[in-house]
Amino acid sequence: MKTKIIYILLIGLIFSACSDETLNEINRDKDNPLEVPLRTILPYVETHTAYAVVGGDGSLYMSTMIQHMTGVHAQLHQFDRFVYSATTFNNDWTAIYPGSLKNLRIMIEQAANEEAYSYQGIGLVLYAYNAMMATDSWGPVPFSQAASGEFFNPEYDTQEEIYTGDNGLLDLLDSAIVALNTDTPIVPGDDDLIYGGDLGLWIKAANGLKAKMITRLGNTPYYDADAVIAAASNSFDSNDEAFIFDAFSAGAETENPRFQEANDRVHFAVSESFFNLLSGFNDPRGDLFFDDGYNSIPAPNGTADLDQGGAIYSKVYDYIEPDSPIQFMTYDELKLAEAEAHLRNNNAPEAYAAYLEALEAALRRAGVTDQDVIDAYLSEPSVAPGEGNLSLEDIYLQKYIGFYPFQSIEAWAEWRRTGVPNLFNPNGDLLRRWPYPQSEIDNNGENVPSGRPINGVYWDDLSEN
Amino acid sequence: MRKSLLFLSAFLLLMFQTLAQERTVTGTVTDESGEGIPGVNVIIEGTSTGVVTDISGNYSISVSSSDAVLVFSSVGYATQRVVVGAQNTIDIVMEEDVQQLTEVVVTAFGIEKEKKALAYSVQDVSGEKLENAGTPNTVNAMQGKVAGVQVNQSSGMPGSSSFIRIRGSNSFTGNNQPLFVVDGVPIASNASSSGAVSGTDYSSRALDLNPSDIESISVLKGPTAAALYGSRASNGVVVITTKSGKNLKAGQFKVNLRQSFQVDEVSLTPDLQSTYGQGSGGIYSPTASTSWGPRISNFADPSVNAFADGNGQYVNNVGELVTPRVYDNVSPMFDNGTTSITNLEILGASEKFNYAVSGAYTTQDGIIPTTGMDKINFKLAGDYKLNDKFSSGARINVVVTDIDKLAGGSNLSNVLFTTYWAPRSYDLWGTPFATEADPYQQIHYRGAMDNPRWSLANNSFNEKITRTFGNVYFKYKPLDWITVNYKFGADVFSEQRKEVYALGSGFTGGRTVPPSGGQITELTYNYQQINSNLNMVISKALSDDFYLDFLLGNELIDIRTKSLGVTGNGIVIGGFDQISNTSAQTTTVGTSQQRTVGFFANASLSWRDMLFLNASGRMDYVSNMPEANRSFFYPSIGLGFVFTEPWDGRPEWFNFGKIRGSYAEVGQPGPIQATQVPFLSAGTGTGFTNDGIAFPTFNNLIAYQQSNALRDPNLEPQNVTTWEVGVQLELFNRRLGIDATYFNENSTDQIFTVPLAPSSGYTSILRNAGELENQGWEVVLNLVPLQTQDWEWNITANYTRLRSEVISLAPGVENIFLGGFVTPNVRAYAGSPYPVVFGSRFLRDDEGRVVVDNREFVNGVPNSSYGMPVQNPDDGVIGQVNPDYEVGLSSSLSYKNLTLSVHFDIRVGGQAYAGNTRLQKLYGMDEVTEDRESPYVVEGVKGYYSFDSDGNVVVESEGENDIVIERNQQYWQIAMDAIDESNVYDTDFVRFRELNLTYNFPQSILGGGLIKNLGVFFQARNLALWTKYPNFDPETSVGGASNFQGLEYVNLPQTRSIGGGINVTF
Repeated sequence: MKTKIIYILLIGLIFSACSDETLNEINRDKDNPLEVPLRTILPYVETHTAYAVVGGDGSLYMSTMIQHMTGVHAQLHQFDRFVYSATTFNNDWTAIYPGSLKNLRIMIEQAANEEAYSYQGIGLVLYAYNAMMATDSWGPVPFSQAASGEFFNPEYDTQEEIYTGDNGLLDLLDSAIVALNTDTPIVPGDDDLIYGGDLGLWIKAANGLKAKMITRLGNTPYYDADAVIAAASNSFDSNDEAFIFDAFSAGAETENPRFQEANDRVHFAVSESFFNLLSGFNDPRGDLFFDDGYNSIPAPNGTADLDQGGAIYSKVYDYIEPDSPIQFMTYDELKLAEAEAHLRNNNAPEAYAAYLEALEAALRRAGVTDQDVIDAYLSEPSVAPGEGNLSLEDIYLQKYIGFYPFQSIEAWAEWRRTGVPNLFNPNGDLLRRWPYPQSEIDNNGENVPSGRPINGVYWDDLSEN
Repeated sequence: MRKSLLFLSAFLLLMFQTLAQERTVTGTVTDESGEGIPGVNVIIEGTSTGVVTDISGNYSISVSSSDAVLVFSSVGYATQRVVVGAQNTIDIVMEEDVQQLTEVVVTAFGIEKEKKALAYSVQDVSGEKLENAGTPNTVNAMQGKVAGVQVNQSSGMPGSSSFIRIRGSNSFTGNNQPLFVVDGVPIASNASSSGAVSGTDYSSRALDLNPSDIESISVLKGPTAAALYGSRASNGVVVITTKSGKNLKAGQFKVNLRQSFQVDEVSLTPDLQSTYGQGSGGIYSPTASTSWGPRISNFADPSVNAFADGNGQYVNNVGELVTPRVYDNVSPMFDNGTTSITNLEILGASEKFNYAVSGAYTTQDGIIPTTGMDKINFKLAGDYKLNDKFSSGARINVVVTDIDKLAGGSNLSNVLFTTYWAPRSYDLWGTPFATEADPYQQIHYRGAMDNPRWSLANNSFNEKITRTFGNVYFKYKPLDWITVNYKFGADVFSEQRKEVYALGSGFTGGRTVPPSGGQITELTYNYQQINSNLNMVISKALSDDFYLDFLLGNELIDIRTKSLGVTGNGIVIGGFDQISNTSAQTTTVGTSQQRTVGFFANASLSWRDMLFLNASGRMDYVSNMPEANRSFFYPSIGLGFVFTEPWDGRPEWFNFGKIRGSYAEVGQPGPIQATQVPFLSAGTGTGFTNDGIAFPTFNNLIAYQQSNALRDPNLEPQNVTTWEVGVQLELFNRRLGIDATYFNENSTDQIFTVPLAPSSGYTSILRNAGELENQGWEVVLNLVPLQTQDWEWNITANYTRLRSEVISLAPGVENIFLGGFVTPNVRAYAGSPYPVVFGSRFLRDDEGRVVVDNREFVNGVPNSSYGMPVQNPDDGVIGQVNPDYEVGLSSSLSYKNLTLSVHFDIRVGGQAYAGNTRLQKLYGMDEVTEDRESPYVVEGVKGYYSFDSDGNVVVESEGENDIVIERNQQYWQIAMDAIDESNVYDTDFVRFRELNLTYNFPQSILGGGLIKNLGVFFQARNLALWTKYPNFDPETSVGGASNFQGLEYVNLPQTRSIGGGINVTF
């Protein structure tokens, strides 16, 4: 009898050791949560957008493509000679889709459920901005079916649809403004690393992005100068209000990404064409941007030798600080978009005023603080040709300079739209869009458009493949 | 399901009800001349219970049933089976075995079986062979010794990881290494992390075994052999039996001392050019990373070198005037390493008790200064026999290991990177590595990377492991034909890692003025495995012709791990290696738990000792699967037929012949927490930065991002179906043995992280998909060409031919990434052998000829790549990793007490990406870059490509290439470097792996005194290597012990060792 009881107990033990409750508990993830509050998602999506989307791999490649800098080491040296493949922009694609867009989608949906309209509005602004970076760089990209986890093979939407369609980028910004204007007790604080929870400034940022996007559609029937001017009037009043991520700081794992690149790899030297452009304008920013100022030995894009150590060419790194901000949209860009709109409306005086305002703001933002130096630049005839002589090319050139050093992807976009400045690389034609990443070709091949990156995107040449 | 379990348990219960008496059977085993034979195994059939005859051939064994069958076996004699019946004394006359080979092998759960009764392939390695290999790593010692087993040692550094695979890979991305079972209990054998291209290699836990303590290793190759072990056995099982006092007769006492010592040296160093110096474009630059400068002989010529002083000297990177010359920067990096292994074992036995105590001390100094390993092994084993019915015992092992190692791969602190490719004009060892004012302000010929000498002096990488594993068991025989066994095993270890990148280290971007950065990582990894195994064995003769073995049991395995790591970035006080001395700390915690509960049964039926049928089944319940798919069943069945037994007209020379066939299914569950998509502590980074951003360091904010890895909530177990057929022949008085096996393993419903289009929002989903097939031949050939009174010559060849093919991946998924760089990398490709190297390729025309760039001008500017190979704009497969076949060839020749044994490994086929050779060309350091100025025409056709309207590449060629170029900087650094395929090489080799010469002093000299046995030996390892693979050892892999093999990239080198030792028995 006794032994029987022992056996029964033993068998009971064996079964309890593999009951579903026991095994479920064993399998539970003890290290990571399955749900998190909104205030823990926002700092990630903001920081990630600045660091890995605007400041990601593609921004380095575009710095050399757009000839803001010249790649003189490793991949950047090769890329400067147009050596690239379908894997070159993998990281950028992954940064935008699973990185930004998925987490933003989670945040937006969760915010809607919790009636936290502030987070919803902020999420929509950031969503629109990230999605714009994607379509500007690749053309047709997944948008309506993207980043939800519901579609394993998302369809590619045309760029025209993405910008202007229902629930397209411009619609998202309008929805964001509505949400940001809706009363809610839940407002972000320190977790909002861009505006510290100031929803008024977020509304300005949404309007700024509208101006940026409509301007980018400048070669298409959707361009509307009045809409740009209207959006700009509801946007930033100074650079202090601009859409800029300024939360980097000195210290391990907290620095500006381009500063980390400078520390770890040192790929770049002064670009000969950019050096010539600035020196032609006597631009005071040259003394700041180039380590050796106007005494620099610049490197020619496309033919420079390998020179990581700076033995041959001058470097570009003194200007880049560990706490340098990453710009999403500056006040000077807004004013230049406004200037373009006025000029295209044949309103030269307004255009010129906005243009000069933009130039001064850009110089101050770059670190030129001496009013005499600013005034001297603004009286340079090649820079400030006078109200009657202002051309779109003047505006575009200043935009191109203003995007230095971190907004190279934007500079590349505007170059494609405007053809300004005229850039030459002996290795062939500059990229007009990025090759679709290998990860997408491998896993969503049937939806990926087959066009080679030689074709332009919709707002460039109205093509969609 | 539950019902059948209940039934099973009820059956178990019933079985316990019937008890019976136990008694002792004694006897003497003699040969045909009447002499007692010592060392004969006397085993109760179907159990692991047995004794060994003493020096006079006497034995005594307790049996609990008159139905019990005693099996008497000894090498060289025919095995005999006797039913005990009523006898108390059974004397046996053994007949010399002319008919069959009887080899007893250890199978699942430590049960010994005659090899001839098996329906599947099992191969043994003796402890002696492992010792003779002269390596402290047991897995490395198995290299080439077993057909179907592949061992890759990641490097020759002390404690480096090894990758072992049996019959190829069953899983695309999961574990492919076999289960290790020591004395009947599974233990951890893999590295706790592996498979990175930069960073340090972590030792495999199989390293903790003491090769000198191993009695024998049985390799259960296929799932058929291993089905009883359940899900963990789908990659085969390595069954290890350690030494014990079991084989000693009562009253015997033995002390064995072995000491070996060897000197290790680097096996290969790269072939470098010695004509050109530091610089680029033919111009000297004191900070260039490359050697594309002027000829070193022209360095002092002011018309060539702006730094020349015109008096035969030039100014170097520290501003000194130096005379140009060619330096050997590589040799000073390598020292002679040493390996010393001391092993002491004490064995003893009495009537009721036997024991074994052993201790080993291994100390190694690596071939690069600062590297080394100290390892201490202790073992205690004891068996106690209370009476004929009850016995029990325990095995306890304690291991303490301490490894000092180096960073490898693309790590910026890798000491070999700028040692191998320091310009020949640069005096690496004569130029200071830090400024006098600040020891953390490095001086080096190039930026970003650490000066190797500075790195050795300041960075450190240490791993300490303390481990205890062992078991206790109880054995109860209620009846002489029933045995109940219970075994409880545990394996507990703690790994402590400390890695220091000193203040100013290039790895942390610290080579600034003043020095910055620095990183300290402390990580503790705790592992705990508990194993409980209860089983019952029934062995019964059903009739004169039929005999049945039946096994029924339950097993519980519970594994828990916990890792706690702190990484401190930004060292404040240089040289003070404490986390508290860093400016920002990140903590990581990893917890994992898993449990498997299994119920199993096995039945073996034999008929007239010639027909053997075996069937088994196992049911597992595992925690790491969704509730609905948590349990699964694995069956196996096998049949063996000794056709020589009934064969009447059999020729004299045909001693033994058997054919066998078997079939099994084994399931494999998914990884732990296979069904949840968690949020992870947030961080971000890019491909061009090391540190990135980490929360909560960043602005002191807690932030989360959702994992990019989805998990299928309906995951099902992965299924491996396997069948094998084999033939075993013993011919010519057993001078020739052939054992050939054909196997086929098909793994379906692979559980793996299927890559997703990242636009879906996730980069992968863990799900079932895909099929992998392995098939191949294993042939073991034994030959005894010479056998006389004094001479014996043995040859063993192990031939393995393995074909692994990815039949399919997930729908829409063409390939998956296993490891490597953006390109090249290692992948599994649907419809291709597993795995392949993937990367950029030569552009080729329809006939496969290389297309050479025929564009003399591009955009009106001369094309610098004119006449050089063109890169195909589409990447593709550029190499097959697995060899066509491998042969391990062992031979030993004995004359009286002198034995010479050698082992060769041969590999034919297979390719790898030679990352070192690529860098060596890129930097202008490879021997092939010595010729930069003579005219050269690339073999191929002239042409270029365009795209058609669908975006496909269209090759436009215009006939055979005749463009004359120089193979200059542009050629190697730009044109060829862009083509990964240009650095894929065949990994074929012939390696003289081992040599051992042993002399045992004859008894006539020892004179029967205190010393019973004395042997001296000389041994060598990796004596020679013949290969076309350039510069480095084709066997290294930057992937360490992971599925990611076939990519070499600044790996740490292999070693060649020569030494000897002494073996004394008291």
